[in-house]
Amino acid sequence: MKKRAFIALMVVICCLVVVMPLTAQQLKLTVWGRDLTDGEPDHAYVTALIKDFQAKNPDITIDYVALGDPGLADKTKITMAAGSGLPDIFQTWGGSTMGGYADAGRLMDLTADLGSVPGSAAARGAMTWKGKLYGVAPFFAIAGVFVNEGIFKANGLGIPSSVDQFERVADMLKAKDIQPFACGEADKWPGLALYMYLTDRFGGDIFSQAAARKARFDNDAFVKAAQLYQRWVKKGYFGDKPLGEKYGDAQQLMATGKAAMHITGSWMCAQYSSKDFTDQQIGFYAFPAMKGGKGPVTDIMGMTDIGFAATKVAASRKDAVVRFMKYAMSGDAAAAEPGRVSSVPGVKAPSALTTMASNVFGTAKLVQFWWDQNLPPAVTTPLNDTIQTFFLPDTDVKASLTKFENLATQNMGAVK
Amino acid sequence: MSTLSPGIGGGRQPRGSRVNVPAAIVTIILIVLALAVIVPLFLPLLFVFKTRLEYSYNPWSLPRQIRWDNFVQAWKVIQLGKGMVNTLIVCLGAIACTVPPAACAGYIFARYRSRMTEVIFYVILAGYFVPLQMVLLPLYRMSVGLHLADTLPGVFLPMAAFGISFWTLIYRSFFRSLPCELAEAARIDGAGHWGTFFLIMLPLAGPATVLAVLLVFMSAWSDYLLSLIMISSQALFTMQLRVAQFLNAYGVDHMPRYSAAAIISAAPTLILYILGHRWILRGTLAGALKG
Repeated sequence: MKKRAFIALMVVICCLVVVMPLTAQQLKLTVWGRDLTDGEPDHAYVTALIKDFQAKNPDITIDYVALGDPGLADKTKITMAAGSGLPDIFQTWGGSTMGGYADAGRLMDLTADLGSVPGSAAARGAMTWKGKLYGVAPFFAIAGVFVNEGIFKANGLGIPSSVDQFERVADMLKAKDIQPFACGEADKWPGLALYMYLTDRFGGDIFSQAAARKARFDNDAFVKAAQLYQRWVKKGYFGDKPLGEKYGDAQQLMATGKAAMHITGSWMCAQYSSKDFTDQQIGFYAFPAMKGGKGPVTDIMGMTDIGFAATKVAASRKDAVVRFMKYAMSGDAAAAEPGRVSSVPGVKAPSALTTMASNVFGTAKLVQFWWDQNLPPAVTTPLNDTIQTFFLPDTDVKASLTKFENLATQNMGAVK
Repeated sequence: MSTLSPGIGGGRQPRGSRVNVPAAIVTIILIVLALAVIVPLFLPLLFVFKTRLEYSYNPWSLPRQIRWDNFVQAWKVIQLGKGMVNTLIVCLGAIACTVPPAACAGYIFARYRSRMTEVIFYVILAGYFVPLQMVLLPLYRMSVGLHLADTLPGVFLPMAAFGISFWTLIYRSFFRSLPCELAEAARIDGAGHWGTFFLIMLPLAGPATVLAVLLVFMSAWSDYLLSLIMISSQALFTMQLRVAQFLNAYGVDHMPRYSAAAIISAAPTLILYILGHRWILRGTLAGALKG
């Protein structure tokens, strides 16, 4: 009897030894992101997301690797092309870059799992490719006009409500030896936001038509916008050496009150409202409409600021991926962010400047994604190169745009 | 009696003597070129002790106060200790896999010359002209296939593959500059091929070996792209990856802290250069680039 009891006990112990590790098995998700989880204000959201998600989901271990920029983009590109060494989840701005990965069959379709997660339509649109949803975008960046309120007040200037007024205000600032706009065009991409707005204000959503090859990139609206841009450059609105200033220099010009306006993304809200970074009073406004133009003030340029997509290697851990994505889109996680514009409903903007940017985002009826993220990768660098030529006073901007159109024809097909 | 040109021999120039214009122009050009190299090295020191606001207003002025906060923050975030061990493994691995094969190959190509060895030499040399970026994708695929991806050997083995061709060229030139009589004398004294190489020729190639060790170390220390692509686990991140994480996170927004990280990351190679510059110069001048 004792022997039988002993054998039974041993069998039970053996079963427990075998079963317990299985039941207590940790799921591991590898997440590649941009920001460090060091608790700095700029990285507060990611820090809180990783820490709190793990605390609330003890069965999942997050192996978060911060790769920065361009590290994240470079590494993702290579691993996606190789099809091996992929993370489970990676940070992305969505758009055509993410779409390319989806076309290559590297991403996991999460439409059924995340389709009902509340969030702004624009953010969801950025993470959607060919009708399939591949991730979430808890934060959205929009381009607008950062205005030095102190300079405007001291000079009796109002916020421009039309492009004409914009020009008048810039002339007045120039006359008082204040640089109207900070830009940082030495880095090439910073000049894009203004060009997108000017083109939209001249021709409405002409970009979507050009991207769909129903209009040319040297169409009237593109050319007029480029000519106006070049005229502003010639008038010195961007300083004497706009091509010698990097994006960091542009920030310094705003931070020290040497420039009065900066047309850039709302990601700068945290910086421009930080007393550690600037002692200037800075506001955020929508880019104005144009008299006789087609694009209304409610056409907003922008794209995902922080987004996550999942790869196919995580297919066996889909449930854990969905839990992570849903938590990333939760009010709890998004509340930790001190500066970005949230696309999660009900999240209160953390600063007055972000509130202003959120209000502008709230008025958006059409959101046009960054062209250099939404066109095929083969033409995005030449696009920014083309915009840089507008900063050279003697450039024939129409010829530059025609050259770009020829490249677009080669890579995207001819206009139908 | 011949007259010395101005300045030569340290003699005092007679009054009213003409300035040596070509020498002055060359000197000015050299000073400008030297400044172009030296000034960027010193610029971070101008920024690193400032707050962000102080930097915004007075980037080019001397700091009002010496603050070490930026170094402390950079040091903490980079987690130097963790990255240092990985980087040392990569550096030592790169040296071990580059220098001995390159020395052996260089010796063979210098001393046992035939049509066959010449062809093989030029085939190896061709590898020197292949940029890393061009082969990054197939290299990564191959590493995954060999289970070398996300390992430290996965970083230093490709480094060695890219380095061997260059160092073979250097060793070959160096060995060719050594007198043949030394090897022949060793042979007469009964030394075999290996004995001649290890006991006679390799010690004579000391300056080239020191040069190779130092420069392979510096290049492995500074590597970013290969490490970025090959390593995915944070635990295996090298110094440069950790510094890049930091720089990418604070770059344009926080120049003083960025400068601190740049100084920390550059310090070991700068110190190594200062300590070993005599060897580097000797190695370069002692025939390493001749022939």
